[in-house]
Amino acid sequence: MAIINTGDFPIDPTTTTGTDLADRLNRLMAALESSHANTTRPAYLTAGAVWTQPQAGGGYKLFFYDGARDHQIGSVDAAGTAQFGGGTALAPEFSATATYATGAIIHDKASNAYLQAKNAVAAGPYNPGDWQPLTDVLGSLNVDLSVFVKKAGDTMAGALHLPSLTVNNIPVLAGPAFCAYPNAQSSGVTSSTFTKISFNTEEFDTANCYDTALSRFTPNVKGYYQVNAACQMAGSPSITSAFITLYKNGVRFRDGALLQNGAGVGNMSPVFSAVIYFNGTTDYVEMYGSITGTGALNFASGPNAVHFSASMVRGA
Amino acid sequence: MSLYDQIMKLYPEISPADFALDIGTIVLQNDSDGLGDYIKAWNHPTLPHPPFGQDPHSPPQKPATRK
Repeated sequence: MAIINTGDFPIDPTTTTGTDLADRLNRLMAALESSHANTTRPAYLTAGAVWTQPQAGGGYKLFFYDGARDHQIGSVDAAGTAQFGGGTALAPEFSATATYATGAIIHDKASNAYLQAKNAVAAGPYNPGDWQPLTDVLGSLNVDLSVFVKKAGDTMAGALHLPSLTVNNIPVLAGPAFCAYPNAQSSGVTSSTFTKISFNTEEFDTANCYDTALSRFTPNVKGYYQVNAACQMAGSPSITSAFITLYKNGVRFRDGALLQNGAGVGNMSPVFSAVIYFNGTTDYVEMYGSITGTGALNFASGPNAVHFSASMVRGA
Repeated sequence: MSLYDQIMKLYPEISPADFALDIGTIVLQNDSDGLGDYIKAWNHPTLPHPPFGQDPHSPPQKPATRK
């Protein structure tokens, strides 16, 4: 341990001998050289002090004392592995004596907002024209997102909006989504036959991943997708069951509802919903339906009765 | 006449239950690609696969050669 003794300071020149003075100065030097290394915070430290705590197994912890509590700044273990900066990271307050590079982020205490430098800012009084709200910056950001933790009570200038944020070139907040429906009835459906349902009209297709000719969704971003479908199936005079299922890569993969009515009804509308994984390159899905009935059987048309949609819910 | 009706006509002993979802022995499929209905799976315990209804997407089988 390397700390000074209680009573070492202040030094009274009228009572302190040369030997005593040397001892006190040596203890002070040792304390300074080791950043007041001690198992507990030395009692003489005041707010703003930094001190070290040797660890039993070797290594050190470094603390900042705020006058009431000790905040760990970092540590180095016996093997020399260091961990620093793991605590709260705050954008610095604006300083008239500092210079800022283009893109630097500060916290403006007057407006209680986080700002980013439009261009290089020279030292001098705060000029609002040099800075832009952080929300504007994030609105066009697609790489190198600066992350910080705001202090309790701070407010951001509006909600964050990240329309084009990418991680490893994958748009994590804007994955593919589509919705399609058939613009005409699929007549001539054979009873008890798994028949691919045609959805040949797009309502939207954000990433051009849906093929209207094949009624097939092949997303180009790897991840997990919520897939939904519904299909009104009808027969004249009647049908006794209606079933919808999802085919992935040409194989029946997840079943939707199986509706049955032994007496027979004019139509039924089974639905499908599941979260499906796609590899982002070759995986595709299609919807199939099966009707059991007599007479003329068909899948209905229009976006209300028959629809197929999917949207990415998270990357992989 | 649909494939379903052709099968029922060829084999009168077959019932709609043979086409029942998951518990049936016969699976018919239509990929809406213009090639029509075909037999996706034929697992009937006693009756052989009909001479029609082959999967049009599968490569044609070579005719048997006489040794």
